[in-house]
Amino acid sequence: MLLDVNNLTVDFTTHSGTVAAVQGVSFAVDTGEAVGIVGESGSGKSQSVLALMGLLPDNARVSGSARLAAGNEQGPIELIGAPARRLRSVRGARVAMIFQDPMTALNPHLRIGTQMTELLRRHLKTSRREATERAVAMLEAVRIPQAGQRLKAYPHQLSGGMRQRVMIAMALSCEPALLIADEPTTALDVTVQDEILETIAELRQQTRTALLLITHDLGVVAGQCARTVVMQHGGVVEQGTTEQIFTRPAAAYTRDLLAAIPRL
Amino acid sequence: MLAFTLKRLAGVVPTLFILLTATFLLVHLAPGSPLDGDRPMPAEIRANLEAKYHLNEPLIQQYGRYLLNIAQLDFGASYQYKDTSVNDLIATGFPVSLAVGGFSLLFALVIGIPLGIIAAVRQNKIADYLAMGGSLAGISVPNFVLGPLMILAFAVYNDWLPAGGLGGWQNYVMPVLALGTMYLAYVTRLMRASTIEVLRSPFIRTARAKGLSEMRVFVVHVLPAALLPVVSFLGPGAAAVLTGSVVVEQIFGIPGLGRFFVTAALNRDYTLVLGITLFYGIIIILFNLVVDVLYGWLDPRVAYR
Repeated sequence: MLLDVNNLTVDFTTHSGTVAAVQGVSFAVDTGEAVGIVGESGSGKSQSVLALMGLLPDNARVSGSARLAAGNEQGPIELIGAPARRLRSVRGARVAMIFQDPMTALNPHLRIGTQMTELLRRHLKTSRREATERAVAMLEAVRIPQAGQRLKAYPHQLSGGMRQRVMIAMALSCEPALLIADEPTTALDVTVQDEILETIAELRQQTRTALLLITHDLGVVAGQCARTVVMQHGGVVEQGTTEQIFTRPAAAYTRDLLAAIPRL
Repeated sequence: MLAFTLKRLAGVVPTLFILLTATFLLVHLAPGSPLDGDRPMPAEIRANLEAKYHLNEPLIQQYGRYLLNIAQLDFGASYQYKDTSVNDLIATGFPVSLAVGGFSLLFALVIGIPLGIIAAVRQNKIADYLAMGGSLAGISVPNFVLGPLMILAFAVYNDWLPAGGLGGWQNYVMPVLALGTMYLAYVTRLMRASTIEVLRSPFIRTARAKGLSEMRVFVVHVLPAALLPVVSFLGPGAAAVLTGSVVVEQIFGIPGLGRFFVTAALNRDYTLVLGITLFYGIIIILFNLVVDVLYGWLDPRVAYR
């Protein structure tokens, strides 16, 4: 088991009281496995994975357990409540993330190369030159033409699809065991969406990286994930193999979701 | 970037020409003449003086003569300060004003930027409330109130600092505080607001998701973006410091450009008013150019054309 999430709960303290965003969510991801989390906006899917990464704002209270296999002889690491230092050594190295909007997820003030090499240098402790070479190799792996020159480009000089490719290249550059993709194609053109998903699938095959794919698009899950977790109102409605979810949905909400897919 | 700078520099000349013409017309339109004094002047002497200063010529001829001198970088002779050229007055007054204005801006930036950052990071905590309360007070109290109050407190009731004049560094303390406090308050609020906004932006979450140290996230990712509004404030800010120094120099009796400017306006010293206006114009335009170039360097999305 790579990631084992148990009874994860997230509360936000706001001026108007406490908001329960995630209520006792449990799921697991095996090594190299692709798991989809589907659900409508506000169902708590993004908040759950941000909680795992310790990336929620200060007013969030997280409880429960999320154990991540360390990838060495040591036992699994408990992520919830872990000291900031340990979380920082996990982020980007063991678990990487890509986000919904590639337009805003990259720093507009820094060159692509700077953003890629700072990650490599942080976790792989490589020299500047090795980091640059690795960054170029990763950009080539996600099929970005003239990768060497792109390192000098700023994000605004690339298209949306290109930027998401850069995000993928960056996320996978330290060979994480788990890639969390939070709505990676939602902000992109339909034609670009497929290319991005293909790129992720292709690279995962080479590296045996597990994928936790968050989306509201059941079609995306059907194509990518072996197992699916359905969420609503901060809780898990049902989970199982993707085939089982699609052919024999147990929960009424899942049937509603499936019925909402337009058919010709 | 070089082409951009040269293009902008070329635009300076017409801007200054318009500034010069408007100011020339305004000072000559104002009632009275440089020769009006407390006592009436015999008509004969007045006629002689007018001839000497070419004041008897038609306005257009005076204007042409003035432009010709300006083209040779000669601002002419002051009417008020006998035997002193405007160039000399600017040369003696500007370093003093530059010191007061420059230190005021520096004071505002050096204290305001860290203070704004602290307030942003400790948002809605006691440090934030103190910084925001203080800066609200700083923005609300004008320098012509703050100046005399400081003189009362530090020079009259306590003999800590000289009340006015120009001697050692002690003479600069109160003018710089009086002039700089408002900009300090402004910079603090600006920096707080922009830091809070940047901290919330998705690319900061990306930086954190990469496992970078909080220090690196702040210095490399937050700071350059958060500084942008402060940098763009520097252009108008420098202009405001120049006008503010006119008041502050008057309060503290500092022989700077601002003080010359006020007395020149009161005495209808045409050449000195025009000279200082033009000089201020050049300073403000150049400063804005520097700010624009700096802005583009900080924000690569700005295209120089």
